[in-house]
Amino acid sequence: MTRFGPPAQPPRRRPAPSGARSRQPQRPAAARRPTRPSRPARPAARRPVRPNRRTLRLGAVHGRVRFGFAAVCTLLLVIGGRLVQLQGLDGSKYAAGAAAQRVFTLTLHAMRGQIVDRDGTPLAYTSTAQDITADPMQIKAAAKAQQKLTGRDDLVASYATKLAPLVGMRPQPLATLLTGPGQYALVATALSPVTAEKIAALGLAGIYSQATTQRQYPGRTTAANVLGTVHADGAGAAGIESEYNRVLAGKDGSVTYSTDNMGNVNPASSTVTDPARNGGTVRLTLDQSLQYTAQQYLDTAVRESGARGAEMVVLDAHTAQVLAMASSHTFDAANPNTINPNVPMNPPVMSAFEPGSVQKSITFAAALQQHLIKPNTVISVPPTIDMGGVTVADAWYHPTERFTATGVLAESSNVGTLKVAQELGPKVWDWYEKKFGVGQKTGIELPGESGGYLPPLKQWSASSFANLPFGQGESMTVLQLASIYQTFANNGVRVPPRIIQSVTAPDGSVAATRQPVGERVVSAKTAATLRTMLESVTLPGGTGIKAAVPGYRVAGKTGTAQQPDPNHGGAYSSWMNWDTFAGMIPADNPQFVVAIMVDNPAHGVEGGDVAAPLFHQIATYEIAHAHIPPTGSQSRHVPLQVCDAATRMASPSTVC
Amino acid sequence: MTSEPRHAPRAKRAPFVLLIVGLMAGGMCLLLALNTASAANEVARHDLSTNDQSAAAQLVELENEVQASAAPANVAAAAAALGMVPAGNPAFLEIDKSGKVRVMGSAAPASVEPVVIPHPAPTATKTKPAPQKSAKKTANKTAKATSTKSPGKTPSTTTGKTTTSTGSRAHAGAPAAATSSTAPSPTPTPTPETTLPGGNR
Repeated sequence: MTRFGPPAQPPRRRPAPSGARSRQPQRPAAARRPTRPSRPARPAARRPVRPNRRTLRLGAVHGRVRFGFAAVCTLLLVIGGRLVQLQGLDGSKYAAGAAAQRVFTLTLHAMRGQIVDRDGTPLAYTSTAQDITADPMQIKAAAKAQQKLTGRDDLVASYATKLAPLVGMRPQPLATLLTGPGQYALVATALSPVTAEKIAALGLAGIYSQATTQRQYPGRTTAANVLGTVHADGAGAAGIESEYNRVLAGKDGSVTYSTDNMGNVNPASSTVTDPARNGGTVRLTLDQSLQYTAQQYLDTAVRESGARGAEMVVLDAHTAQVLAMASSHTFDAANPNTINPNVPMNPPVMSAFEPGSVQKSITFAAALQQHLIKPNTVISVPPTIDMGGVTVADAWYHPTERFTATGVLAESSNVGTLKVAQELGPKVWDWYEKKFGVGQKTGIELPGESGGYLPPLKQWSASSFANLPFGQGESMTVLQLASIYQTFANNGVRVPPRIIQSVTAPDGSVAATRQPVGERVVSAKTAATLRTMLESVTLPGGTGIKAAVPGYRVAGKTGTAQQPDPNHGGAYSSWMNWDTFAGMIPADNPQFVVAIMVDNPAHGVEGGDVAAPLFHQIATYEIAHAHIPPTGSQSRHVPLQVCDAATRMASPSTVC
Repeated sequence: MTSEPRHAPRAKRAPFVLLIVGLMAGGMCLLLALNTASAANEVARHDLSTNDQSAAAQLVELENEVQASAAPANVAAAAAALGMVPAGNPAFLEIDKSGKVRVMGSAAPASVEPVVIPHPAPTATKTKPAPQKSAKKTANKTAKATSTKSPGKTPSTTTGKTTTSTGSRAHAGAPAAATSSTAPSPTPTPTPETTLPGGNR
């Protein structure tokens, strides 16, 4: 320590530990000349000393060099050690700390993919938008500064009046928001970029905008039940948005760059960019126009009939692709507040109902396939029938009459159907029900599918078989109902319905949904015969005449199922009904299949009153929309009854 | 001896100094020019990027507008405002090789049965479609209802002119048949379609 201190006297003695050396050499002292304060004293002191020093010099220099060397080495060792400690041992920590101060990583948000209809029209897509935020502390400071400068206290009020029309708020609550506590207030979310630009052009201090994205549903309610909606953070919450979230979401990327102490990006530093991978496109089999039209018709029908709701599914007859899946009064996908929490979001696949007579066609298809009946087989139908201790009557009173099998189906006689079912027997009947998919999920690519309910054969009560053949005591979704009729339309081959046409990955590769393998349920001949029988339903004398489309052959079946009344212990109500209709057009070369359910209409209590006209409407629309010409053939006339002369006079020509 | 070496460098020094001064001055000017050009470019870049941003913003806005107005609800509302009605039963002309024309299906003029509900305009706030009550009135009444109601519901698309033509056109397009088959009834049950809209022709 003392060695580096200011020297006191020119000929000084060093307070060295080896006190043996008598004289201090002058040269090293001269080397330190600049630090010496007293210059004039030197020449006088130098000369007399010089001659004497030479004898002592070698030994002294040697000692000093050694000592100095040791000292420097020690110092270097300490420095080196510290260096190793800093660079080698703790190096990563300091490097990380330094990097944290200058290297920044920004997330590059992936754009969520589109959901498009079968023609590629976007049903849901994402666009860029801006969130508007405010820093109340900064605004308050600006207001104070303005008051000091000009004496006016209207800064916040002027902010509010300028911003209010742009963010869609009233000035009063906006002013409260702008002067709230803290340093952050969200003023508006997902404004269009143009509006955000207008706000930026106002140049208000303390108002900021922040890039975000906005999920757009241009059709709003159109297909909302299928599409679902997204959470506030953009993740899928329901429907296709949720089921295909992984495809749609894409993958966020990032960009890493370093800045200087002022925050400027260092152009020489390496910028690492991991690009965001945008989401893929999901193409549905839906037809946007048909979907919209179906929803409009359902909404109108529900309003006019005073029903609780209505559902409709339109399938392509051969591929079983879902062309429309609609329910009445669905929500606005762009506004989740419109979602009614008390009803399923997508009733056509989520809610099951008792189909009623509409599924008598399964009983008849089975009987045809088993060669038990032909369209013109005469069945004697009494007014009532006793089965398992239950007396079943028809919906209208008639004496014992002689119907053909076609007539039983066309006029929807419960008694006649039960007589056919009795010939089939429960086991065969149950086997065909299962083959038609009753009680099983269709496997459609939508969340929350209900499989309906078919009571297992073992659990049947004595009276089960008195109800089941005409569609009571079992339940199905409207999609399952459509699937049953698709089997008839597709010449006996049931193809599981699908709603996804293809998924396009972000890199452009298209993965088309594989066409599911169909399952033959009944022969092509049986299906064709059943279709001619179902045609009689929409001809004069049948229950579904309101479904008829002039110039076209229409095959279909009405249904009116009694609903269990919760106020009467779940007993079947006499006034609450599920009105159904399922059918296809043209009957001899079906192009598409429609299934309709109207829940508890107040006016028009039978399936032929509300559901059949809906079929007429949607079929009329779709044949024009899809350019399906009539086949030009005529329906084969099968009499419905064995008539006496009086009936022949009174009834339409197709009855006898 | 000493004067010569002194004079020679002196004589050569002046142009060298001038050269250096010139180079420095030139360099400074060049630097200034470069700086100015760079600053000017930066200003231009900033302007362009601002333009670019606002163009991008407008693009997003316009795309959203196009998508919204192409949505079926808005197309239907615009069509209704122009006096268009949904077509009824389609008929097709089949022309065989000999040139003979056969009419497939039964052609009939469109009856005004399901008048499409005007939907919220693309820019309107999120509201559910307003209930529409006029579907089961006569053709004449429906057309009138459309003409009186739609301006309020679709402020962006409907003008007074087009709606007056709506009334007359729909009235002319749906003759007596539609009026007789869809007489106003107290029960809002859908009208039976057993008598074909427009009749069989």
